[in-house]
Amino acid sequence: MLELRLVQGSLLKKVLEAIKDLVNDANFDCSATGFSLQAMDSSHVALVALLLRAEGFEHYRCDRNISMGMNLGNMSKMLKCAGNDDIITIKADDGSDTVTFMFESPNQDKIADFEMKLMDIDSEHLGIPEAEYHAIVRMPSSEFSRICKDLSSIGDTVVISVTKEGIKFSTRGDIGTANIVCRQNTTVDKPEEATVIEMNEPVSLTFALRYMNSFTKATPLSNTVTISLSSELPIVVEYKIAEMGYIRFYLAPKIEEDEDESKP
Amino acid sequence: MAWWVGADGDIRVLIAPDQGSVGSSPGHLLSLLHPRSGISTVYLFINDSLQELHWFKQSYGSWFLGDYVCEDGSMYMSTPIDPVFIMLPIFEKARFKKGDDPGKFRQLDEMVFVDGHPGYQQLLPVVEKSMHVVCEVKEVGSVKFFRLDDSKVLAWLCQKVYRLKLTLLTLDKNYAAQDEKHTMADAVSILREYLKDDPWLKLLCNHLRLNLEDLARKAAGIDALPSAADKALGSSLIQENREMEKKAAVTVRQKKKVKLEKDSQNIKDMFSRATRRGSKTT
Repeated sequence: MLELRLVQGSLLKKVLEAIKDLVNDANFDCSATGFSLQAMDSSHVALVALLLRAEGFEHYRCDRNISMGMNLGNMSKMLKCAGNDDIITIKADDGSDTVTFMFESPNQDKIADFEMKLMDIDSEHLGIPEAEYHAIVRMPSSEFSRICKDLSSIGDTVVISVTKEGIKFSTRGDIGTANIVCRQNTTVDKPEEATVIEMNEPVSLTFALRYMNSFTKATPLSNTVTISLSSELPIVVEYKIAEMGYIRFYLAPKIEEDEDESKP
Repeated sequence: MAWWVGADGDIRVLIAPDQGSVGSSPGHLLSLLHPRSGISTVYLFINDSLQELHWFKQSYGSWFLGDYVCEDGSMYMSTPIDPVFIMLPIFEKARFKKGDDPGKFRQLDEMVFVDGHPGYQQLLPVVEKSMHVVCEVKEVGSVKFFRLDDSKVLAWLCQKVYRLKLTLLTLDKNYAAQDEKHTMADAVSILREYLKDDPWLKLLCNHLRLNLEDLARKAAGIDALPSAADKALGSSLIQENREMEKKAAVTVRQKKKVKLEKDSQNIKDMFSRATRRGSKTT
């Protein structure tokens, strides 16, 4: 028996908007620790990992570990029917092949329930190594989103390099080239507007912009985004979900044609 | 189930639908043209029912038949096929349709004369019954004349798609969860195996607003081997592949929809390499 009650239902709505275009079907795993998902996109270049901790739910009942296979497009259609202020409850009975989403309006005068068929999805969990990243950058999520959008009008790949100067995003295309540098900036009115750069080693990697633009759909979830880079690892783009957990996007870099280019 | 020892001493195992006690004739094996490929293919005609043959073989297996062991573990299965599929190309050719001119009305006895394939004549009794659905029929005296009608064929094809869709939804819950449009595309893919692209598949895809190339691409990825063209006994399609196609349809479909990302590394491989290098894994 599974029953999870989330008072800030809008978080779940935003989560689905952030992942439904990247992944079509995925397993949601429920355990005592929380509600999570790990799935690769169909091209096996990107991976999304979601965690909503049990503590973040007003009521969390998960009798035993279960995996629910869902079509994210369909789940998103249902969640779109929830109001932004609604309380969302996810329910599933043992052995049942459906899941129910219940939406309650804040003053309790409107209650909707949506039942969705579950799928059988074979998925493998990838072991994501804990690593010391060469560089970790925390910056406003809206700025990162704007940068990715702007650069994609010029080219389709972005070279992200971190040096002591700051974090640089570069692209080139038919009409020309573009470079955007963001320097460390901690003297701001609000901490979420700061750009903080921790660099252990300079690093430079190239990525396909269309995935970045897909990741930035999670911008509504958090004011800041944390970008972690390391030369032999996928980049991690993380949006914290307030009081509850995170959504992390991993992206494999492009195959380097010229070895020298990777060393700034 | 019964087995038959051929003239050369070979044993074949065939599974066919139970006709009950109606009709005891052992049926005829007819060599007809496959409606899509045009290759000579063997069909079974038994008790007024036309059946297509599938050949199925597991890698390692033999049959225990009574007291006998048959080394060849393969088996044939016959399943009913709507005679309209088989007759469509024949009728299409027979009407001599040119552009907007709908073509000629023809008599059945003329149309079933197919060069090198006398089997069609044996189908006459069923042909008349089936082709009413897709033809305009004119009677002059006691003689009936038939002409294939495109709009009737389209209506018949749409009915097939509809029935297939309903059946697919009952087969596997994954179908129930997927988009209606994809279930429809799957149904049309199944029909595609029995129809020529031009004119019927094109007609159907246009009507249902599906992309013919997408279907072809998906089929190329999971197509069965059209093996036996003129085997002594046996037809082309392998049943197992059909089942695989249904299961794989959900996952394979995704791969073909997204533009393949060239030049990016595979993230699964990257994580495996990193894990092997000895970092701790979460």
